[in-house]
Amino acid sequence: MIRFDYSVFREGKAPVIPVEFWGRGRWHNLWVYVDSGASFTILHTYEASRLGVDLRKCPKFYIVVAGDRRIPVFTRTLKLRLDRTVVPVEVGFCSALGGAFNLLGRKGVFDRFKVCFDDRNETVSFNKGGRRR
Amino acid sequence: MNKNDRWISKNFGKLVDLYGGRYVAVADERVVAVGARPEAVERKASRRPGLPASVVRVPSLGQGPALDPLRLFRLS
Repeated sequence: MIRFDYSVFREGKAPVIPVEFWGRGRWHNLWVYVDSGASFTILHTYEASRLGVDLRKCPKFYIVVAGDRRIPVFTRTLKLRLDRTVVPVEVGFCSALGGAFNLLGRKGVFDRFKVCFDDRNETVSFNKGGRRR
Repeated sequence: MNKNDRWISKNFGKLVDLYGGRYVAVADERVVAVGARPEAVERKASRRPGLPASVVRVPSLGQGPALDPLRLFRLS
């Protein structure tokens, strides 16, 4: 079991945790908001250069947001390390995150770990022991 | 989590208030480098001796163009 305390954020706390992504031949520490409502992981396009990802070579699709604006999301599968466990995760790079958090979404993560948000104790835990039915 | 990450976790709100939208490097429980580009921040932080610094992109709430950063955005 891998457990993280929530991060202190303004008046409250939020499941913002450090994880590591592989890029440019080494692990990079990135902070992400664990978001059970996001289908997959979204990082800001700024992080692409840090991780050595050339967005021009990535497949892309569009999401539609308020005002019918189409925003490109570039996808790439990267290695994610949570504590000592490494899993491949499909990551979307999106400039429309603006100043917001990087998001750790479900695909590749919630289907490999049982993820438990414990708001009472302000922790989020990842359990590898879950058996697939 | 290492010592730097624990410090970031406890002080995340302060980092957002002070350095929103930028990259910061934290070592020995303090901010040792700040900048717009992660490579420059990592390079500056790596010159310090001791435990490697943790580099984090600090969110800047309120700057998202069309998306509410607190609600984030739902792709499901």
